[in-house]
Amino acid sequence: MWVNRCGRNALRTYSSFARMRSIRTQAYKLSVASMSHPVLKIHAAPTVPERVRFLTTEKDGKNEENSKTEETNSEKNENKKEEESVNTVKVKILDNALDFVVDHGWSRKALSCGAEQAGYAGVAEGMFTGGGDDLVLYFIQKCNFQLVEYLKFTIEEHEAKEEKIKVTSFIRSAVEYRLRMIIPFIGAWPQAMGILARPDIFPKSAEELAKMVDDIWYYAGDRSADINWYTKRGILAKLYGSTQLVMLTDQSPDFKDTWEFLDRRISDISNFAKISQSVKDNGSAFVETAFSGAKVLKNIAGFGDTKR
Amino acid sequence: MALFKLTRVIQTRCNFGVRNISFQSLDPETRKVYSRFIRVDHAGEFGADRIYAGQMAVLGKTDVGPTIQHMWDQEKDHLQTFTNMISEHRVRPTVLHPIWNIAGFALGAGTALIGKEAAMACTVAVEESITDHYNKQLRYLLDSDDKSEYRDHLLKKIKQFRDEEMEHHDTGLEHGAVNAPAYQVLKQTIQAGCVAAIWLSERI
Repeated sequence: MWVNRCGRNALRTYSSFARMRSIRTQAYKLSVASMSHPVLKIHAAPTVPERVRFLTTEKDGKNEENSKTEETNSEKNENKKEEESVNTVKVKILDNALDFVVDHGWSRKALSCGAEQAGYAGVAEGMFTGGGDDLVLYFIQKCNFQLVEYLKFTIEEHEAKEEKIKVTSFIRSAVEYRLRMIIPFIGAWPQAMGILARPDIFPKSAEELAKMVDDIWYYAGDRSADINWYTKRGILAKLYGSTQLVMLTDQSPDFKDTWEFLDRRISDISNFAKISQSVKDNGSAFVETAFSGAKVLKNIAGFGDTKR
Repeated sequence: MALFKLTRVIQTRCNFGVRNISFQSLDPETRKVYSRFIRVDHAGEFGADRIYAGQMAVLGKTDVGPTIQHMWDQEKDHLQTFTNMISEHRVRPTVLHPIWNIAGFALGAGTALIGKEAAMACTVAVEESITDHYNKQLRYLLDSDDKSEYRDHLLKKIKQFRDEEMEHHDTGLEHGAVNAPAYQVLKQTIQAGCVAAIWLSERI
């Protein structure tokens, strides 16, 4: 009987331990899930910038919380160093995660495989509050950064040959180069486009698109300071978007049909520009004709004066 | 050839009159504030340019023609400075640019059609608004923590333009602005419009 009581006590103790452990696990899971909760964010440490910049030397992505509190210089430097090392780790994980996107899509699984490949524990993917969304945004930023390098290189090349840069061919090559970066991930690209179109991610993806389009026009030589700034960038954004969609369903070898579509769209745009320019030039003649026609009608109706 | 020269400009980062001051090296918050300043100042100078164009279209052949022409030339110079800043530092211009084009010309021509004094009253009202606006910007720049060369350049230019706008204001008063019909009403309406235009152009 004493043995039974011992056994019962032991069982009770063991099961209470087990219950405490399960409660602790649940609490941990809850705390991890609540890391993304806006109210509890201030309790989640360490605070890191929302977006990971490809260039860790860029001062973008400043830690907002640190700038609000008053700190000594040394504390600020320490925080900055910590922030930079966190950024380096994040970039390393994201770069490695891109290798797994084809198999696992833009997801936490890809991030965790990437973390393992980078030499960190798989759970390091918890650093990314957005999960697969962060991966997509990072990929886009990386592509745009490489595009800018390519644009600068193209300009240097043309300058070395002392050639004039033709705007349409410059833009065409920029769009093709940028779209070709998607080709390795094209199987998972519809998922990426879906993520980028989601309402919570859309402001960031729109900002990236705007920056990319601005970069292309800037390096193509556009220096307009009026409404043309907007029309040019709007046209290019639409061109890029439509060519991207065509590319998704293109089965031709080396996406030949997509590049032909791009050529046709660009020639449409330049034709439109030529037509609108000629309308402007001939506009005054048109207006005069219209006015003289109106005067004749007035005379016929009897309202006009009899002057010719 | 011109395009080749432009590419050289990109390469050497030789800015028109902003001698190698690197706007892109400022931190993002400051860059945002300065971009806003440049955007709204560009819009303001463009509006002033169109107002004087409207006034000249009506009053160009009268005796105040040369005075308005002189003020217009100074505004053109201000506009060119801000256009250069927009082009070189990749600042987004205001999307309301065509609206200010039409509204400015209409305001200038409209007040000039009422009379010479009304045109001067319009000048006085607009220049007073612009002077207040520049003073606010100067106060911000003087108080700011940023000690970069760029801030000094902006400070110098805005101070110079503020002084010239005050001159225009005084010229307007000299030429009988106060004698315009419904002077106070005209002045208050135009200034309310200017405040709204400034608020909008800063943001969009």
